[in-house]
Parts: sequence; structure tokens; C-alpha cells
Amino acid sequence: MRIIVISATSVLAKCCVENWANRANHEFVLVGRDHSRIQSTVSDLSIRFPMSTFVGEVLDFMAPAQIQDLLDSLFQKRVDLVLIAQGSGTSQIMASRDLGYLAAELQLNAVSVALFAQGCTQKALKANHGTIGVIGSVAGDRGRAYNYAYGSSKGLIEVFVEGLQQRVAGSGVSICLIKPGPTETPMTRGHKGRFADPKAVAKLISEGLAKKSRVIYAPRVWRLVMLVVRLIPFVIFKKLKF
Amino acid sequence: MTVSFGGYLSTPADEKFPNWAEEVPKFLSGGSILATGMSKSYGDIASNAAGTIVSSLGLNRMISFDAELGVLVCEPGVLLHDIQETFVERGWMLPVTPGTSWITVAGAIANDVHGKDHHLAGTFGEHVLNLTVARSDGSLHFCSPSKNPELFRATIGGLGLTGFIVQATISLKPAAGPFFDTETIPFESLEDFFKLSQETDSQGWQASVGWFDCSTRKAGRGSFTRGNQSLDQLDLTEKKTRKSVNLPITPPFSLVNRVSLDLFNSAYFELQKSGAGKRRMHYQEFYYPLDGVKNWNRIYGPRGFFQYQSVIPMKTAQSATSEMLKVIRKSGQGSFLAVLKTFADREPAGLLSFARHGVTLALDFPNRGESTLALMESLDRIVAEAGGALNPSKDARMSRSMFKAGFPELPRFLLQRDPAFASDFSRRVID
Repeated sequence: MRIIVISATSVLAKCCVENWANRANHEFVLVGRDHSRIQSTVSDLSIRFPMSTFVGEVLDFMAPAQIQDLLDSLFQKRVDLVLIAQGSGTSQIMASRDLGYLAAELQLNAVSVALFAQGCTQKALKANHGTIGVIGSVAGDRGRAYNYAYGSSKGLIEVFVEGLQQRVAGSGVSICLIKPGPTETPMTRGHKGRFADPKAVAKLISEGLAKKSRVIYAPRVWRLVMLVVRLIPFVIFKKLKF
Repeated sequence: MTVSFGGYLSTPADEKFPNWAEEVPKFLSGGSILATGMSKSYGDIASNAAGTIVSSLGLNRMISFDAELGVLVCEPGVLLHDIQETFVERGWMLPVTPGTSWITVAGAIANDVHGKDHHLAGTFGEHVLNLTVARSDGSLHFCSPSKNPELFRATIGGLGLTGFIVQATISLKPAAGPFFDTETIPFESLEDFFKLSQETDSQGWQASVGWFDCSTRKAGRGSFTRGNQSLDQLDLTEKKTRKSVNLPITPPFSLVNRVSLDLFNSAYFELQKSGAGKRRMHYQEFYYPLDGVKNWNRIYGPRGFFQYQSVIPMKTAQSATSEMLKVIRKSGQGSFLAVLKTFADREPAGLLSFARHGVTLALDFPNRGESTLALMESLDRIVAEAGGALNPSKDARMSRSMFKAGFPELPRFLLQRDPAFASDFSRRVID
């Protein structure tokens, strides 16, 4: 397969790449924002998986024209799978005080993801082929005082992807919303609580993408948990502390 | 809170998890700093109470690999497990590995670890070609046997006290494949062990280790395993990924007690005896028998356990070892796993390297408080008198004088130490 990974330097995205490369040989394009980080990710994976190929691409995730150019060139060849994985663990405390920070976080976590998702969908529809996985979060299921700056950007992704899913229905393209629960990444290290092993989450993601699932919860238990959370009426929800 | 492998508890003030090498220097400013990896050290060398711990686990990338020479450049948090898995079928393996592969490259260097191949391959540090060390003053130092050799030799086996290793270059050794031809030989007495060990070394076996029973009346009996890389490795279908068993929780008390120990050691001996002879083993089984049981250390319960590893010069080894066994037997605190190995006569790679010419004995004791400490103190006296040393990587209780006596290059080492780096061990034993 030819697989494009947006924000391949993130821990979860890298675990997905390792999961795919472990099972078969693929052609990977690893896209990131920082040249040296993409380079070191490409070197590491090339050493670990010599039977797959890895190419790095670097661009500004916020620049629509650059994104369009990159996708124009990448989709000249057949693309089988795209994973869109950028995201930053927004600090609610900082976001509440600093509007500049809030704006930058929303740009990366919501706008940039939407731009890539839209761009890839157009290209895939033209080829009538391909699976696109977009990483959202269980945090997008409800607005909570604790993390709404982060959660709302994930909520945008959810509605955006649903729109795309309706758009591609009946075509050869499938779009999948991935909703991980708290996963152990640099973002969560040092925080209290239970975090899922990113390798296990990556395994669920790759299984879900292979089945072309519409929504992947990882770990699976979150599907049930969030169903319950969504059903709580606001009069009660507002009193909850979680 | 951090928990060491032996159950030693410590509470650092802060933990940092850099994900990229360029982030490391900003975490090294300020007070008391210690780099950590998988925290498999038994005692307190990887703990830093009230200080800052900077984890290397996010820095786990391989940077380059020279497939002609088998030279790997990598970040400090790459696991030995990953190196073995990545390269064994390409014809390369680690030249030296300890009994677990779930440790980082930097941890292996900082403890200058040894394994079953000391006779031919020495310690891990002997295969380090160069290092880049970040210091608390913001500087980066490239060091090798020819460039900054003192810092190089201080960092190998330096217990993490000379700075943060941000990059390491290590050489692998050619390997025909993942399988070993092994031979297990039961022995009935210590004299037999020493005879076997000598014979094995002179026959040029690649790796060897002895397990023995020091709990029962039949103390001294044991089994000796030696192995060579198989020349015929054709049948790779034999390879199977081992299912590991997990000890999911810590039982409320130690499962290792007089009764279970006696049963275990007798059963193990009989098992080894019945399985004696020649057998082909996958390297995972040969090098890492305990990696098959995840969290096996929990068997000792919440109080944890001590490991006591000594090395005694050849001349006095046999008499001192049998005296230690006598003391242990008298105490009634038998050891679950007693491991005997010989170290060859090689120049140590680091200033504080533990491995040196002699016989090393590693014992596990469940922590029973005062009586266990007293037992280890009486063992100390035998080791000190015989001119031996204790392994800091396994230690949680040795005295300052014991450390000083065992590591005569300490003053030279201290000249290279980073003043901001410290550990519970360094405060207890060195500072």
C-alpha cells in the first residue's frame, strides 16, 4: 500500500506506522512540520523496517496553499491510505488566559485537520479510491469546563468528518473518524490517570481502517462510556466534576 | 513516586519526558538531575528523591546503521529488545546483553552491564564506540576512547552521574541467526562448578552461566548452562514469539518463603537435571529466561527484595564463595535465584565498572527487614576480606566504605562528574 501520514512525528501516528510496517511492506510518505524531526523519524523507521520505504515531506500545517500543493503532488500517484494525526494537548488554563495561544491551538487542532481532510477527500474522490483516517478524540463528544479548548476542536473534526462521510457515501472512498481515549504520549506524561498504551490503540486503529469502520473508539470501552456521557442531561452534567 | 525493580520507593519532585534530543538541555538546568530509563535497576541508582528525573524513553530512535560494519548510532532510550529483534535476522546481535532485554541502551552503558558472554565479549561498554553527553551547563560533549577519554570512561558504568547521554554509537557482532546450541550440565558441588567453568572457558564457549541451590541441605548442587551460536540456522520456522506470563498484581506478602523456596529449588534442580544435555534454544530463551514472566519481581510482595551481587578475585573466589554459602544456609534465608559466573581478565571499560577478573555471585533475598540486612552485612565482611566488590546497579544498602574499597578509581571518576547530577545512590554512598 502507499500510505500518507500527516504529523508522522506524533507518538500515536508513529505507532500506527510501526503496526502497518510490522505486518507488510508498504510505501510511506511521512509528513511533518519540522525538518529534523521528520528526518529522524524517517531514519529510525528505515532502519527498523528495511523492506518498507519511507519518504519525508515538510510543510506549514496552517498554510492552505502549501497543503494544496503537497496533496497535488502526492496524489499524482495512487494513494491507498491517509492518516491525519496532528494535534496538540491544549492546556485549558493557558487557553483561558491567552487568546493568542487559544487561536494557535484551534488553528492546529481544528482548522489544519479540516484542511487536510477536505484536500485529501477531493483527491481521493477524483481517483475514486482510498481510505482516510482522521484522529479526533473522545474529548470531542461533549464540552467540559476541564478541556473545552481542546475538546471543541475535536468536536469540529467530528462534524466535519460526518459531512465528508455523507459526501463520499457510495463512492470508492471511505473516511473514518478515530476517537482515542487518553493515550500515553508526551502530551499525557506526568499527568495523573490511566492512559492506554499507544501500541494497543494503533492496533485498533489499523484494524478499524482495514474494516473501513465509520468511527473507531480506542480502547473500545470508550464507545460505551461516551454514549452514557452524551446522554446525561445538561442540568445534571453541569454539576458533575470530571 | 518511582518504584525500583527491587521495590525501593522514592519520590522525585519532578519528572520530565523529552521527546526530542534538542529538548534535553533545557531540562538539565537547576538542582538535582538524574536521567532514567526502564527503571530495572534493583536499588536506588535510578531514583532521585526531591530532585528531577529526566526520562530517556521518548528518545528511542535509531539514527543510522552501517550494515557492513554492524555499527548502530542511536538515541539513549532505544531498548535492547528492539535492537535484537531488528537486527538478528540481518546477521547482527548485541555482543553483550544482561538477563533482560527490557532496558535502554543508555542504561546498559551507565551500568556497564555484563552478561553470559563476558569471557569473550567483556561488558557492554567495551562495544561503545562513542557517546554524546549533555551536561547541566548546557554543553554537549562528544567522547570516545580517543576524544575526551576520561569523560568517556567515566560515563561508561558512571551510574548516570556524568550527564545525560543523548546519543550513542555501538558496534554489534555478526550473528548467524537467532538460535543457540546449548548444553546443560548438572553439578553437585562448588568444586564441580569451578572445574566446569574453567573447562568451558578454555574450550572457547561463547556464553555460560551457573544456577545453584543455596537453600537446602544439598546446597552447592546446581546446573551449568553454556551455549554457542548455532552454525546451522536454516530453519527459521522454529522461531516462535514467546507468550509471556504476567504477574498482574503484587501479592500482599512475599510468595518466596522457606517452604516455597525449598520446593522451587528442588523442583528446578530436578527439572534441569532431567533436561540436562544438549538442546537448541532461541536467543530469547537462552539470554532472557525471565523476560517470559512479566513483572516477576512482584512475587516478593510489597516489601520487595534485595539483590546481592558480589565479585571476588579468582585467587580467593572458591573459599570465599563457599563461606558465603555457609553463612546464607545458616541464616535460613535462602536465595531463590543464585547465579554464579566467572569474569575473564579484561581491562574494565569504565572507571566504575563492576565486572572484573573473578567470580561473581548474584543472590536474591526477600526483604525481611533487619535480619536480611544483617545477613548481607555478614556477607559484606567476607567479600571485603577477599578483596571483592558489590554491584551498585543491584544495591540498595552497601556502606560508603564498601563502595570506596571496591571502586578505587572513584577519585578519578569524581573529576568527570556533572555537579548537578545526583541520585539516591550517590547521596547515600558517594557524596
